[in-house]
Amino acid sequence: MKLERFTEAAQVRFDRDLKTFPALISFYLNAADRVKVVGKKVVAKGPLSPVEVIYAAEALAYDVNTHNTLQAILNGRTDLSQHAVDTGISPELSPWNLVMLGAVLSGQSDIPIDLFSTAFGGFDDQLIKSFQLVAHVGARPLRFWEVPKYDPESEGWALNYLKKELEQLFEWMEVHTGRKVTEESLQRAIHFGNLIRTDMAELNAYLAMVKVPITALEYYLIQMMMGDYAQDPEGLHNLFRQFLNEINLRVDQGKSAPGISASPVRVYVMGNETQELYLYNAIEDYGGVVVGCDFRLPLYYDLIDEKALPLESLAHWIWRMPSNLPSQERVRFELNYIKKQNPDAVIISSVVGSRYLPGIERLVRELIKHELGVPVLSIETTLPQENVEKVDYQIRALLQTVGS
Amino acid sequence: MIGSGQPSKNILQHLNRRLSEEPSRISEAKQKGLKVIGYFCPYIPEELIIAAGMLPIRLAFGGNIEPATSGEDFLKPYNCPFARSCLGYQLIGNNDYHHLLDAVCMAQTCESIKLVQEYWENHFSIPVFTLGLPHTHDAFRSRPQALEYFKLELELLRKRLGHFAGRPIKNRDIRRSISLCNQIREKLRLLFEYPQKHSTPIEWYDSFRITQAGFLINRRDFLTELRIIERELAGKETVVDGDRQIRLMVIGSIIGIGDYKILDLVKEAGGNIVADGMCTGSLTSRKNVTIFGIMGNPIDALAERYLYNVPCPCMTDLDKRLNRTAQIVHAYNVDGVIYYSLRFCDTWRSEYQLMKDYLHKEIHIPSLLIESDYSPADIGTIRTKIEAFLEMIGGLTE
Repeated sequence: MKLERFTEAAQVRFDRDLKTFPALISFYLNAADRVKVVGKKVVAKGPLSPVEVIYAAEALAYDVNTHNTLQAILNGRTDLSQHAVDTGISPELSPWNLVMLGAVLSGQSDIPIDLFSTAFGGFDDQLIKSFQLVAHVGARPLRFWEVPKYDPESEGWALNYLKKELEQLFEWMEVHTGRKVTEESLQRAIHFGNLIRTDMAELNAYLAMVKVPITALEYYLIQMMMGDYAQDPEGLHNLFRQFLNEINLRVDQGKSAPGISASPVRVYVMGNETQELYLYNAIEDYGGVVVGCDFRLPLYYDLIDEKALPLESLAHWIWRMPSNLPSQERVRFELNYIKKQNPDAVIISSVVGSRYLPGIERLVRELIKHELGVPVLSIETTLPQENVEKVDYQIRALLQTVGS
Repeated sequence: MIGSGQPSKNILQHLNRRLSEEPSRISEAKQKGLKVIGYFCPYIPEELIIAAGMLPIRLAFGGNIEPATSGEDFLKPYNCPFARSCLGYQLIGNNDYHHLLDAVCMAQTCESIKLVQEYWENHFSIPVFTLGLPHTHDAFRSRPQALEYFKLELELLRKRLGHFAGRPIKNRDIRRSISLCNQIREKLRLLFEYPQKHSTPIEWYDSFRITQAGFLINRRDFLTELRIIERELAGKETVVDGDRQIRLMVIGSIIGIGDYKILDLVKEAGGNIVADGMCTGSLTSRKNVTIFGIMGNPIDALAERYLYNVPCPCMTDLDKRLNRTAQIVHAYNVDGVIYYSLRFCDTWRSEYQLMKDYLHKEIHIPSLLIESDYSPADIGTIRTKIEAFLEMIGGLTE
């Protein structure tokens, strides 16, 4: 896959010096070719729904929102959202859901879907309702599984509930995939997930360095791959290793990534993942560098314990995912990770049409300011190119102020 | 004030008087130690609050643009106006009931209410008691773990409320409050059943408002009021002749206390709402808490009733909502369904296509989607839509 094609369609700039990144992004975006050959069932799931439960059934996890939207943005096809609206869906939904719905309902989803199954954790009503709709229209089996709310006092019965939900999910997967989830298969899925989580932790450690060796756009896209491990956890891990080795060479040579200024303003990005990919370039253009973002942090915040019984450790890990915590606890928890990146400023991103993260933006802003004491900028974006001037100006103002 | 047209007005006079006095009555009772517990969604069993000797108030206020706008201090303009109002009323302090609150209970229903909960916990200085709520259970009880979890969550809520009340909540007290609430539900159900016939002594609209008055009044007194209404109705001749009107059902997002824009427009256009599937309407009284004898565990009984009532669309059991809607359509001989979606209420709005197809293809009933908020700006547009819908149904039924 040629990055030039994306550059033109999405009006973004990649780090051309990186030799391993094109293979990595192609691996993610061209998964459809591999999936056809493999012949396994494809299970559509939401961005933050853990994938180990799907790979354990020897099926392929497919983060249908992220995949389709990134495909659409990079190929300049965000008009798919209009298709969703034309079929009667509210135009007031998040563009991530609208593009996904448009792609699936119009039969343009990049990978054909066999099943729909995602975690229900009370943090994405739109996704749940969208899955209900597309599964119904496409006559595909659908199963939600509940992640009970986090409350330390209810840990015992909440984990029992979650384990029973997972056991029933495995039975359902067996019916539809013909593959039984065993302790061994779950253990194996957890192991590969942990390898990728370790890769992500290593990548974040590079971003914590004084000379940041990775540009923001590449980092963002790699983090997005956590949503489904590109339908091939082992293959993704191998490509991550090659990528990390190349980054390590840069580190050994004492180099920053190209385009990053000598003493950049270190920016951590939180909230909704923006579709305005250009903004990652803009941060660097105005003298900043992205040192981390929390969009997929719930999927790699910690390793899943491989020594305990796999169902027990998986349930415990899922229940404690940052996305399942109340916002105050989530932010306090995430601050441990954010502080390691040593940011000078934080950008909180809201996508108009999303509900939860924009809704909680004020609380997060207050907590970050209080706990971290750095300037915080709140931005709002919609579909690509729709309000880019305003956000561009805001970012420039933030970086000039902090930089001076 | 509740009640709209003639002649239901007389029936409701006593209740209206009572309602207007209620805030000062509650204030006086608070001086003597009464604690007031607010809640938003009907998944909180008010039986537990009553059993603790406290007063439950359902904070289902809506229809007012000022608190919805004030709520934007916390939420975005593209968050649901009801959720914004839940915060806005507490911020601006012009609601007769919000300032009486000692604590609130929150069930984790939809994302919007979760946001409300988080801001109440972090910005308002009264305790918030939360209740974990399963969303993926179904009418076939294929997930018994959901019920088990919910029972234990209710036990935890009971413990927390008891601690707040300063006394443990005993089974005996819960059984008594269940009995009280069951009597209220039975009487409200009777009111909602009247419009099944074409001639009824009370309109659905008044029964709807009576139900909402019950969110705010001491429940024993409310039961007394319902008995008065029952007696009044028993002595009445048929007072509403709905024969010539198009019979409608209204379902959808919460229609809060004071949010009567759509209902008034339907009435003005000559439509006759005879039934609903609203969480502030007949759903609150739909199902009794069934408890067997003095040995039955009241928490188990509460869990059964509250988990398996007709689910809000924040739950995944769409089939139950469709079936319930079809049952009502048949029982009330409904000609058309008004589907009300509060703007940015994703759970209701996203189900409209499926509900519309089901109503159209399976039971051959037309539906009309109305999306609105608390602003009066869209009155003209909505009026035109409703008139066109009624005209279309009139053409179909002639």
